[in-house]
Amino acid sequence: MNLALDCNILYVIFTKTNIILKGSVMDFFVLETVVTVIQIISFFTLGFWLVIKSKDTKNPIAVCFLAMRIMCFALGSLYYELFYLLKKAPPYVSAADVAWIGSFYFIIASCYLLGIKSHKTPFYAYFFAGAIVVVMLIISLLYGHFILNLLWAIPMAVLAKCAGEGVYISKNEEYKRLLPFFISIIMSLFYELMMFLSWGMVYVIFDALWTVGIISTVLTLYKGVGD
Amino acid sequence: MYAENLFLCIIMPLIVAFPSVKSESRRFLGFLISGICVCLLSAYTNSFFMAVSGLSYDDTAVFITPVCEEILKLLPLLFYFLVFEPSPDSLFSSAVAVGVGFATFENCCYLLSSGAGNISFVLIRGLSAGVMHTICALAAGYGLIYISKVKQMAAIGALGILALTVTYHAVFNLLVSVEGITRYVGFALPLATALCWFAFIKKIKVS
Repeated sequence: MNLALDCNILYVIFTKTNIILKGSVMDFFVLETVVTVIQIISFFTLGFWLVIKSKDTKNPIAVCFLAMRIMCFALGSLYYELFYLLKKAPPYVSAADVAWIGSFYFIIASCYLLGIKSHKTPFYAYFFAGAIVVVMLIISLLYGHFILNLLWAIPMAVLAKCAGEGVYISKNEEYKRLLPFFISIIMSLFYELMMFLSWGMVYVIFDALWTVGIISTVLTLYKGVGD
Repeated sequence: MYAENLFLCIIMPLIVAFPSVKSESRRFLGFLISGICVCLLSAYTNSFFMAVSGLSYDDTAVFITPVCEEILKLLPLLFYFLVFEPSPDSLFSSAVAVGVGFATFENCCYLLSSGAGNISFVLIRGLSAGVMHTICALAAGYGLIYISKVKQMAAIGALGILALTVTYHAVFNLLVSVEGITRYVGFALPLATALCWFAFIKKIKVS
């Protein structure tokens, strides 16, 4: 494990950042739990709010799918946090992974429902997807369960491609309002990748940034398809 | 305990009644029977994976059971949804029937193995695990109704719905697997979810 981590090109950067931000071990766990609890509460609240407000939008099903995405993710985080608290150890492969990976399918469906499929795919959409696959393959070779990492990589790559296509179609006047939504997706995917590559306090920071990214995804979609 | 004998005992009158009822009732009965069959099948698959993985009974309940049970419960509904393209009402009542059938057979098995003399145990069993299975089936049915509006998203949506139900089931199993107050929170979770569900649906309909 340590040898694998030594090979990681980002190891040095993150270790140094960790030293700067270093608190005690307890601080890290408390902070991680606080971030997760905020994440769970805000995601459930936003999810219910989105479902109620979906009727006022131009594409209610796409909005509902996004609501299901964040609620599914929050349910996975709830399971993970409960497991950690009750069993005093994190689950290795569990229902939390099922929920987190499954939540991607909802947002992919949401992107397709917004009309990205009817347009051609730009080269940078393939680049985003390819970059995610390459990074996830490197991660798989360094640590973790190979198949689990692969299961993460597939929907992440598909979502990256969808977001790239979304950015492309946003050039049209019809889809211009959705550009912030697709940029938010790309940003949250970036933070998610960084979470795979980090640990300690840096992980907590990226987790918090990712939470903000997801909340902005929700708000930008609501604004984009709202009247 | 011989689950197969119990299965035959419960299912025989339902099969005999099946040809004598008409359209809507027949469909409901059919899905009730399939819910019971799925429960027996999931008992086999859980035992198989428990033996293969070498996990304890409690760990199997937390890690494996939710996945096996929810996949098997979704299969008859998915088949009905993809092949027969039913109306939302039919799909919803079918989902309820699968959930109720599953919960009924599971409750019967538990009561037969643990005894039905203690009314509080019986009530807790009925209002927790029983309601949980129905809630999961309701969520699957409701999700499939949403997907039916965009058929091309069927596969993607079904995976998402499966993830939702598996995780909810796993959270319930995790909570009840630990002694103390956590277990009571777990017992109350399905009923609380059901109440929130109905209140939420009512609010959506009103708005």
